[in-house]
Amino acid sequence: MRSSVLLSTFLHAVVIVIGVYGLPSIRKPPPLQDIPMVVEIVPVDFKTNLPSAPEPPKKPEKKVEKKPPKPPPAPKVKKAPPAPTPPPPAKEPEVAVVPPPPEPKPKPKPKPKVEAKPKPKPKPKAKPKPKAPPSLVKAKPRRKPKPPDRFAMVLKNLEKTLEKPKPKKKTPKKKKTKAEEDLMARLSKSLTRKPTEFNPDRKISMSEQHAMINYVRNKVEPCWNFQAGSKGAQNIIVEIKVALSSDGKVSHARITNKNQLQRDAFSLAAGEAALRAVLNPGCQPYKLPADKYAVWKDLTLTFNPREMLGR
Amino acid sequence: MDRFCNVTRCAGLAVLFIFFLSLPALAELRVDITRGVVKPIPVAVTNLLGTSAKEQNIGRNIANVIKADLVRSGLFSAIDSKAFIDVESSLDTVPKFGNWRVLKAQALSQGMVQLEAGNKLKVQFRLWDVFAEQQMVGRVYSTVAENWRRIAHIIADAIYKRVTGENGYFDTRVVYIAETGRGDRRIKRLAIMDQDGENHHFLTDGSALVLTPRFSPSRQEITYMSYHGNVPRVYIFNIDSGRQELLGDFPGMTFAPRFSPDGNKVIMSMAKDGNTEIYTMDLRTRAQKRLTKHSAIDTSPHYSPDGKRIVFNSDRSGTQQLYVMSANGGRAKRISFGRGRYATPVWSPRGDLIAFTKITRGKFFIGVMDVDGKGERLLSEGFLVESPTWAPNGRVIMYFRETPISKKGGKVSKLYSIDLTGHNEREMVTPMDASDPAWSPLIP
Repeated sequence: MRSSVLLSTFLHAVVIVIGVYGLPSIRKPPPLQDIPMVVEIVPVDFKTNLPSAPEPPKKPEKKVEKKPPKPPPAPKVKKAPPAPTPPPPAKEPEVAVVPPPPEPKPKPKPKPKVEAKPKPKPKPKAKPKPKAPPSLVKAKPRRKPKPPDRFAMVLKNLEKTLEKPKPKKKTPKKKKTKAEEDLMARLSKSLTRKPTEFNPDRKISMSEQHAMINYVRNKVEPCWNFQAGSKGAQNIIVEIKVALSSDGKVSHARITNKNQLQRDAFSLAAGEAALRAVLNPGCQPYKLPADKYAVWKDLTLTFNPREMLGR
Repeated sequence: MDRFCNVTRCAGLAVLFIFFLSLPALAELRVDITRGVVKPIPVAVTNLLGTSAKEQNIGRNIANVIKADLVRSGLFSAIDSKAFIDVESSLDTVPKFGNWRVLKAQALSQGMVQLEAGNKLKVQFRLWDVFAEQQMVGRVYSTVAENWRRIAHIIADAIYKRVTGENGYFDTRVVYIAETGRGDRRIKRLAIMDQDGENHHFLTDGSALVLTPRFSPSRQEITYMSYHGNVPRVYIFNIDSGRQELLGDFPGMTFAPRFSPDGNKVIMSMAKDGNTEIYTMDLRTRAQKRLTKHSAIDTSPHYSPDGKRIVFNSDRSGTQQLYVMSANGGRAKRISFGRGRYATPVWSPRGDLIAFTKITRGKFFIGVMDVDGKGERLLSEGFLVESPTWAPNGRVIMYFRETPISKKGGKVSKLYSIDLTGHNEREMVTPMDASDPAWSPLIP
């Protein structure tokens, strides 16, 4: 008798748990994954998600625009005007810095009994012979030639600046700015879209997802102060769960892999530096579309400086 | 009863199973942050509190030294104390973090100084994370009052370590060759100072030419080469007693000495009959051992921090290159293959890099490479830059730079330090020309 009551209670509990926790998950979208090369993915989205993202393709497009000052010629086919560029994410203003106080020169007190006996010039280090060096195996270039950007100077190498001809740098730079402009245009489009009624079940397009991801990334990266010269720095991974309030401010943030990071002082410090990037009031709020709050209210940020260190 | 237990256990397991199944329902946006910035961390260092004027004066001095140390490292910036809104008047209360957040301070250093009977100084110190509103470090130090500068360096080390995760290097000293006079009348003396240039004094009187001083990793000793009695030999100098001692009786000229990581051996080069080889001498038994046997010039040996390998430079391939071999000698493997010549290799105390001097295209460079020779980076260049030495945390390199100032051969020689990243190159202020620096380990 007792066992059947218990069995019945258990089965009821199972049904309730499934009802409360399990069923909503069937309707919820799967976790949104960050895809690294956003710019390359977006065109696919135009084809697959046409109804929700009616963005104009960038190349030959068919918007006809009349030029007001020249009436006689027939109306020319022109490119769609670019979407208004939103203001860049507010950068943290530079902190007032006290210049290091000039070190007081210690007064030298050379003793008077100084006798110089500079006889033969000693040669403690082997004197290199002035022969022309034979052709040596050339140092291997890095895996990928990366376009120079603000992070390229993290680990300085004078040889690179000596060897690389200047004109080479120009081409990738142009590409980058174009890609950036393109990204900002799409970002602005998705951010300036007319807010609609809050609907947590509303699906978002791939471009919107990526615009959000890129926005958050662009917001956090300038705030992440990373110690680039540390040993094993490229292997650090910090995962932080962030809860955002509806005004885009961080209401709560915690390191999820803290146990892993506590193994050594550097990992712990790197984790705390990442947390400071998230909590820094100068890097908030996140101006994300209010009607998509259900999508961005919980974020998981994974910090890994591998790309920054070029390893 | 058994059946009841089984049913209960099964039910519990099933509920747990279903609970875990339901967890993926929490969908969220995932963002990979793969890039950051490298800029100084803003830190607020308040004057250490004190009740008497003397205590307040010491507190102010300690704060200034801490700030100077941190700023010099290039990894921190000190917030101007004039901008402080409301400095806490006690260490026993939690700071008003809002006041420090407004100033963009990421860390806050506070402290208190107490002078006690018998000229004793007690220094309390706390470091706070302003954004996380948590204490990061809390320590108390006790010493004699004259030692306040060391306490300041130790506090700066504690801040550096807690914020960056790497050991500090501020409580250290630098020994170098102080140079005066011109041309043939150049006088070279051993000199020692704190890493910030303070407490400078000379160890030798300049009567004999001295070169290549190196610190012992375990004792207050320096090994160097001296022309004492017009014979070039390797000596050991005890900093505490001021005694200098000839190291062994070698048949040839000995030079380029360095201690082993345990401090029990000295490795050096010896030139005899026109050939230069690498030798070690056990400081306890005075036993000598030859490590290389080659017709080429093998010199500038340096141990890896675990004492198992040695890096040195040799021209056995026709040009001066870097080689690594076992600490017991044997076959050497070439690790440098870039254009130019490589010299004075120094293994990082962290063990991951080797610093060197490179001569190419008529210029000198200070660079670093991985221990297998890959990932070479040149950090500094000049007419003559040479003799790199590592800070004990393996993060900063010091070297000397010689610059010609006249066509008649006049030149100035100064010490410089540079961060491993290649940034934050700074001149070390010395009272006269300086060369051949050697960084000490942390003072025990």
